[in-house]
Amino acid sequence: MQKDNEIILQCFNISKTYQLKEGFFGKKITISALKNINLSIFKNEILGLVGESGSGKSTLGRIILRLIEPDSGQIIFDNQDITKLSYSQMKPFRPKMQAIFQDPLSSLNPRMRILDLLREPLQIHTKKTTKEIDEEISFTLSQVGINFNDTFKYPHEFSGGQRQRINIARALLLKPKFIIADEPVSSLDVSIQAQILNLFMELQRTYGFSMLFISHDLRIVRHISDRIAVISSGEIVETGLTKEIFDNPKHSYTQKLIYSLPEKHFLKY
Amino acid sequence: MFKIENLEISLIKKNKIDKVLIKNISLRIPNGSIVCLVGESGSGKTLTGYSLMRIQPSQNLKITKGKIFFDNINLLELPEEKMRDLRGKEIFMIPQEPLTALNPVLTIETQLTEIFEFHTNMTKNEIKKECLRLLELVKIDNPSTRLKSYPHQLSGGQRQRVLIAMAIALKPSLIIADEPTTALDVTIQGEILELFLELRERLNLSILLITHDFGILKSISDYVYVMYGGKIVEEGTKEEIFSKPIHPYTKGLIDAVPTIDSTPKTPLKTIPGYAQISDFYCPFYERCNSAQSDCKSEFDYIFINQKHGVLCRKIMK
Repeated sequence: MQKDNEIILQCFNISKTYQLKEGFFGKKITISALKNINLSIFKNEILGLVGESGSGKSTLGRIILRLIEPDSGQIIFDNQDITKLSYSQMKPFRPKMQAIFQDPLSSLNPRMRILDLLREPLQIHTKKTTKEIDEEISFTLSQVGINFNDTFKYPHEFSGGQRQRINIARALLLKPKFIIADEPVSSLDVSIQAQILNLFMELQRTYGFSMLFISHDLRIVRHISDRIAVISSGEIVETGLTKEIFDNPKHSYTQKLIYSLPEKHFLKY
Repeated sequence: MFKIENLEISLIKKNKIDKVLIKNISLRIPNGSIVCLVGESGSGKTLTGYSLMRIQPSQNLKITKGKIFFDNINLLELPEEKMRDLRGKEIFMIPQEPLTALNPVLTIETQLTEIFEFHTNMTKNEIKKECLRLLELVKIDNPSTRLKSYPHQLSGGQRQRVLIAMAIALKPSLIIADEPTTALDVTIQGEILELFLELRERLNLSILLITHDFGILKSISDYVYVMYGGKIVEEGTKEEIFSKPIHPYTKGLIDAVPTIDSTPKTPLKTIPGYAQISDFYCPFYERCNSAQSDCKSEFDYIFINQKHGVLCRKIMK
């Protein structure tokens, strides 16, 4: 097992509930989205988070990013408790944790040119001159395979794969220690998926960030992750090294998930 | 037996052919078989599926060439009334999203009953019994209470089951299922696919499955057609396609998908570039590694054996 000081992010007993009203005059129902989540992510690793829709995968991601507040629990990022930090206190942490979302188009402002979109994070978080910023953008874009001359275009002028590359570039610009990728390839075509997955693996090796890779596709998670956490109805039911989870799943839910892959499921036919 | 011969679908602008979207497609769906249509988004899979029902998703799209046979009837020559009769009775299409395919303001019962009222002379009692039997057949728990439910009260998997129940209501010869599992969770996917297999056995159904999931292909298909840029670039039995793919696009697709046996953390093989409309005869020309200048002009579709055909210049040499 790795040492404690190599941990980049830890979650302790995170819980989150939502209040729902059944009908206008109806009773209030409490739905618990997350129950006592404990999770650690080590430096330099890709942790895959798998589960079905509604299992709380994305909620957990958002809580870690402090986009929504948990009811209880603690988030330790880079040895500091960030759970109770105010908006302005969070600011120095923001560049260190970045996010890439499922829909590459809706995460890019349609009214901004790519260049402005990419300049923004650096203008907010660093004191660099525009020239330095542009140099950095140009370098990062070359890493993700986008031509700098294309930065004068608007998001809709790019294909889905290119848009996701731009999102990745934006996340990388601030040299984050930790990236959350929430279903980053599920809206892309098969042949493009492979390109983006390769890009993730390559960049992770060069930049050495940690990543929480949220996905429902077991085959993709298996390919890219060092460790896997399986989440079901708001609870993490199993964590372990990728190989162990797939070769020897212990929890019944994990077994069910793996067995339901068509390749496994239809062996009998 | 369904057969498409040299089908061409074009985009019409001001009464003129603006662009040919589906080019010279031929395919066969024998009775009781599961035929898969794979390809990237925009390759024309869904358009081909719709054409079997003689429906075009837009008014500007028209079938400009070709024949579609159901047994020995050419569907394209039938008058609209006769065609309407066949839809539902002989061919049924399950559209892509089970969430939007059902009418949100009608109960499941009303929507199921509609089919029988339109196509048969059954009495109300008979229809009700038949509805219950159908829901049981597609394995919905508590069919009698579910009949009274509205679509939003059902889960995604249940909605897909209701659609399948509607599909098999009149015992059609062919069901076209457009990405039937994409919107569903992994655990439900397996169950739905299993249901397809079971129904095929019981009702001697043919199924045209439109998908991009290679896991599905590997597990339940009998015959596979690979589409790219509006053309069929390769076809064959599942075994042929997976063990001896010939077309660079098919090869690329198979390699690009991480499987349950692939080595983790290794770079996946990729197809360079992205899908675009090609002006050349080979639609894959721009992305192909082994492209040569003679791929630009017309060449024949070749069958290398009875179970395997391909559209590639390479094989002719």
